[in-house]
Amino acid sequence: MAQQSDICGAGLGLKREWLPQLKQQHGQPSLERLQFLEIAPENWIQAGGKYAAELDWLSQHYPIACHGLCLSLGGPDPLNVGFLKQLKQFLADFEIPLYTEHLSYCSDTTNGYIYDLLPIPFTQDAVSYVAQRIRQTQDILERRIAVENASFYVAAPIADMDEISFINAVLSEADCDLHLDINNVYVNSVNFGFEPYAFLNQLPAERIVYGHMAGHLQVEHNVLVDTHGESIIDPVWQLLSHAYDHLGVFPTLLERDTNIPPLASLMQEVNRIADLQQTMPPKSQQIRRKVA
Amino acid sequence: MLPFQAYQRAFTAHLRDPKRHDKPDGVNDQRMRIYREVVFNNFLASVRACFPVLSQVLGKRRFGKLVRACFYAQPFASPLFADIPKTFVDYLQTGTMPSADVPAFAAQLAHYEWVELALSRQIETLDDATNSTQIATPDGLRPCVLQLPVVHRLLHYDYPVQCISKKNAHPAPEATFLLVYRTPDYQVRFIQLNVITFQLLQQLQTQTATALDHLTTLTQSLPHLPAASIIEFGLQTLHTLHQQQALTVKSIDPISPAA
Repeated sequence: MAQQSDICGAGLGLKREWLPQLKQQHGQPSLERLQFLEIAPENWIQAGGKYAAELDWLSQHYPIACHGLCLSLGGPDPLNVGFLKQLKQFLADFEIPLYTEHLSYCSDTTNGYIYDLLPIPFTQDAVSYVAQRIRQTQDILERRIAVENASFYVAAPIADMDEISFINAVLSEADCDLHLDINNVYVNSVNFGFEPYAFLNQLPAERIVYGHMAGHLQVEHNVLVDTHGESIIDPVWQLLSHAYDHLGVFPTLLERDTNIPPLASLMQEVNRIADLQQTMPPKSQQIRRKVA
Repeated sequence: MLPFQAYQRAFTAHLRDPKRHDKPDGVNDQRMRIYREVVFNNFLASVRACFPVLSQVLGKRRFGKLVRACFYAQPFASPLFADIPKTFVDYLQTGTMPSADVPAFAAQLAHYEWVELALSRQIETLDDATNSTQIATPDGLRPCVLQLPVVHRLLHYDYPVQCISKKNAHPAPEATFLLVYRTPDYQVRFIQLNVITFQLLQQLQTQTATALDHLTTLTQSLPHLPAASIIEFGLQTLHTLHQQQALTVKSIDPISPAA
């Protein structure tokens, strides 16, 4: 049975376009430092035929992490228990040790799923509501989950706290882990004018089990859109380095969802994550070990 | 409803149909525009990817309007992304599209385009231990019990959906029969059938009998045609389908007279 510790080092969010390259280059030095892959369960649950064959190959050759998109932890409609049961089976079938979701919502009561990540207003009633749904999810899945800090563009006028307070309150009330998206911290810090280093310093290091890195698109001087379609910019690399230094090293994955280059060129960014992890002083490695 | 949920309701209502629902009070409109564009464009892209022909026939504007109407009118019950195209087909089949300029064939063309995705992802419910026995000649099929591939559909449309394109965007109604199936190496193939072959395959799907028995039954429903010709042409048709991996040999009846 796979363990959460199998998800370690540097990983890459799978795009099906890369499958032929992955199969061809697997075991070669070019992919040496790619230690795990991530998939969205909403793309692979109930997939037969060639998709099932692909998933079999993937799960036999790489540890796999699951990063969900549609659980809608902050959504107004009841949690989709049928889907959670399917998910539980899926995680068991493919021995997937880590499942994370977004601190956001993607559904409404009028039409159901809207299939995109929308910002939960940072209010006290939302904290309790979301925390209860995370607990329910952990109960059904019979495992801990991690929730990811989401990127967003619109500040809710009804908010009664800031993002860091909201995240910390949810983590504590739900008693779940944190999936830290470094690019999202950066994107939000530009979009809402806060200090990203101070934000990182306030996160609970002991709850961080997983990280994401990605590129974004600058549309105005103070507006960044989290496209996952560009190279990672230096300020985001510096934030990752700061996070490793202050919070400890955690398994970190590169996301690339649009404007997709060949695998070999993306491996430069994966390798850079691995380099950064290895150059961290022993102290930050130890922080992780204590909580693993 | 909790206080923050009233805000969420206004937020998603605006994203589904910005013309009818204002953005939530006090929200920056320039920032809201990012959501208006990103959320709908992502949805549009995941629909369009499955319907290249319909989207070309309708053109960008009409297709976009249709997808928008689906986005605010249709319930989306499944969190799985592959179910989005099916929900779009369901929406077209309700016939409640507000736009008068949606052609009559739209729902059937969309269904035809969706079937390829549906079959490529379908989970085999039976053991797909396909018999790879190859029969060399049409006559060799006489004692064989034939079966359709595990993953297949027999489809009947009122329009020649497989011929519709941007250049042929106004097809006349015409009864159209298709077999779509998945090969063991996961290719999805389409074969156009005439009505008699369509009925023969339906019969073959529901009743276990040798090819000769099926064709003999067929001769009884076509008394105006010479039985020997029906059997001869029938065996040729079945053999062509067999060569295309659309029919496999389930078993060979030992007491049938082998040809």
